Amino acid sequence: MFGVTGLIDMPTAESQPEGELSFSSTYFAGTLRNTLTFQITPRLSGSFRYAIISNWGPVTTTGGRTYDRSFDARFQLVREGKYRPAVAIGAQDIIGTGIYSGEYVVATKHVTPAVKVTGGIGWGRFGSNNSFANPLAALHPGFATRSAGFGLGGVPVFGNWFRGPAALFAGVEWQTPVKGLAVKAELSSDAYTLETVDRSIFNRRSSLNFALDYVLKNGTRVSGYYLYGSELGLRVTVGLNPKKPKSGGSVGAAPPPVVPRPKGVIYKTEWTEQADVSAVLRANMKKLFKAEGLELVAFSVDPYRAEVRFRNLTHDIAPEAIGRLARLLTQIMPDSVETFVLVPMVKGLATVAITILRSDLEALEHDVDGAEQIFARARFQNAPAMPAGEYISAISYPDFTWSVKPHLQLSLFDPDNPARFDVGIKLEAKAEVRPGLVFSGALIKKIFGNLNENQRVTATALATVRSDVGLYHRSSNAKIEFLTAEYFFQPGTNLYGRVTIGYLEQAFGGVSAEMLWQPVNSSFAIGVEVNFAQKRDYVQLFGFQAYNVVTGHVSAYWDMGNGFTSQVDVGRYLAGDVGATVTIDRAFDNGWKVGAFFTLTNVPFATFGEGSFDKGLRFVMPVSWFSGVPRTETIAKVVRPILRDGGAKLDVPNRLYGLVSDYHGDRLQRRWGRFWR
Amino acid sequence: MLSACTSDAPGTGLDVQGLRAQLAKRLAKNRGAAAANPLVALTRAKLAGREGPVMIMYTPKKRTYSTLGLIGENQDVQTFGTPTKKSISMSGGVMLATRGLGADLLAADTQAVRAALKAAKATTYTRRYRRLDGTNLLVKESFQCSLTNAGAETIEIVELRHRVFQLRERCENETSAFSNTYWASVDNSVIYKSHQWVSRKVGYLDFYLLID
Repeated sequence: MFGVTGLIDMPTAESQPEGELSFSSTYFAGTLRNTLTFQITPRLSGSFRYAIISNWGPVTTTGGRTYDRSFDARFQLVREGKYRPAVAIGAQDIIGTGIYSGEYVVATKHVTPAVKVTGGIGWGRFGSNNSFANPLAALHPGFATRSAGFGLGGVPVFGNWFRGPAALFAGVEWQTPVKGLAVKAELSSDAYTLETVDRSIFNRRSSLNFALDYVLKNGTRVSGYYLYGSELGLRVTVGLNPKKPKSGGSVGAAPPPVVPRPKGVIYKTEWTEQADVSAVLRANMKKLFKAEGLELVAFSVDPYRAEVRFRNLTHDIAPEAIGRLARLLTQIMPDSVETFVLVPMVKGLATVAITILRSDLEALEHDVDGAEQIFARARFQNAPAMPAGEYISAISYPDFTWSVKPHLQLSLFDPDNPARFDVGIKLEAKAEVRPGLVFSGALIKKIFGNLNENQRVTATALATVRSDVGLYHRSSNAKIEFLTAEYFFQPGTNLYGRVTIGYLEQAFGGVSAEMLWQPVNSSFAIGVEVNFAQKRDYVQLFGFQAYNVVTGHVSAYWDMGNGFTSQVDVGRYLAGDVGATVTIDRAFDNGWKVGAFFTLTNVPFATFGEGSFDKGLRFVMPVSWFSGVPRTETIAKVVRPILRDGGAKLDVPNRLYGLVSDYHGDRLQRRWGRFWR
Repeated sequence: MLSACTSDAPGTGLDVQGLRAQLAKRLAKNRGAAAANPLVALTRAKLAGREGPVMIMYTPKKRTYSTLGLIGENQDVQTFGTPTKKSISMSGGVMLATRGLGADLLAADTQAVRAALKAAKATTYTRRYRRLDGTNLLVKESFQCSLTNAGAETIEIVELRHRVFQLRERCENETSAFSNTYWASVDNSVIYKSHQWVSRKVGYLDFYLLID
């Protein structure tokens, strides 16, 4: 019921398939536990839990409920073998207020294909019922006792792990002959002291728990429990795995076939002397590109070489856009043009120059190892800001686009209400006035929602930079979400630059300047950003408040290649504090990312307040994954157990690494299988 | 459901297109009706004047029929497209790639199969298949295949009778196995009908050659 792979209240040594992301909600005795569990690697899993426990305290404060946030981790040491059980070690509520903290070592074995037996030893919560002296005390006397205090919470209390009295737990699970139905029974070592002795949340009459577990056809799991001899419980679990999209792959339109040239002839070059050759090529490219979700930006052509600068409008994976373009050029370009140079453009920045020979495209279109072969023969180089030689532009500036969309804003884990939202409408407009110079803005108007219920004023010892987020939702007038002038440029080889002026985000406006260095074939990048931020008025129109601050970071980005990417930022945050942020993401090559971050600054934990330091989880979900239809949009969400003023970064749109990194380093190579798709 | 209005169609707004496609699929599934077999209603007269190659493709898992027309030709590989923008690439009637089906066949080699089909007698050989997994990484598979000739028979496709060998191909490796069948003409090895495997999720595809 803690939302992790396990029996009922007790864990087991099993793990989910790698990448599995599951969310479960368990209700019993007035307690609602919501847990998100992610199988980070085949052996390591992490969980984030948000529990609402009723009848915890006096009714006058927060209605007697306590809202507890906790993180768990589990590592499977040994996999199950023929005679060997699976063994895992885990820690629950590592960084929290300690209500649920406990550690365990557990083993699970199938005794028949349908019956699994589990046994383990636990500490903390798992060592509270029928406990005995800690056997680890034989190693070191310090293991004998466990301290009770957790202070502000938010800090892992390593000093407590595996200490204090220990207890044994056990359980059995039987897969019944009825498909999807399982029966579980366990002997729990959790005495629920805080709930049954210190308070009277429920009556713990026995240590035995029983469960009926049913898996529906779509994978949803429903469980019913009879607990501790006195309570009934219910749990619903839903999940998905980024590695297994429902569609099985892209169901987007098939690519245009390569149009081969006749063999054994000499390709004439007289076409270059034709008067309207540029206009004809431009018109053909514009028309055919649009059908393939691409947009022509500029091109230059000579008898043997064509350089095409383009934008990818719909393909979720970059190599697919590049492959489509290459195919189209075999259809459009006159026969004598043998060398294609393809340059994907993002916001006026030339990301990479990919040189592919037309003969290779003709030869490898249907080769069984065509993707690897064409990658090996292609050349990837740094793309200069302007095309070589004389070029023809295909975009008529100013390039104006606009959209009206529904808009959803969520607020999670507020102590008064775990989930609040506003629904409204968003009007967004963008004008690219010159290559790289963009004016854009968005206006939001709330239609209905309850974000304005957040009336709490958080006491903070730091400058109020984030803890007043509720005040930005008070008024229901139309608000300027952002309004900026951005300039993107390439100051030199492997360098990208950005300057943004205006209303940058919900709470701040000002000036932001950034420079990123990332060579084309490098999985490593370094960036520098400096901002001058002024606090915006709560009505989010044109006004500002008095508070302003200079912030900035030096950032190092590393695509580690084994499914992980990391980022370290060192600098000054919005409240004037100085420190560093570390972010680690489990990144999948379909665009999915599940990551965790934390920030440590020179603000003492006591000054920061509850939670001690800023931390959280972040998710990036590609929209195309859900339907299989190629789209470039992603849904990004950051979840923080506590939002306070320390370690707060300015939320500037269009930071450079996110714009260009998909075309650099190993990322392009790993996803190159999509070239011929 | 609210839908988005934009000044240019691609890449903006809600994924209305994707959601509509999913909704249509779900509605079609619920209706449960198998699409009518177009081969029954077709006559040679209706096909007169049409230039080949033209095929009809049947997807047993979805119980749907599609017409296939030639959209590209490179060396000895022909690429056929459906009206719904899926494509099948074949070399001498042996499928080597699909696009737009979801769990597509990215690439496959066909030389060994084609040589075996031409010989029309029992042979064993290896086949290589390439696909992409859910995270766009290349998956390479190798199968041990054996071809057997189940004998000559006469089949009829839209009023035309063809004298063919029914050639059965059985391929296996440690994790999966499949069986393809080809009905190849006895004199010039044109494949008039075939039953070919794509992937576990898509299943098999049946092809009928209407016009050579």
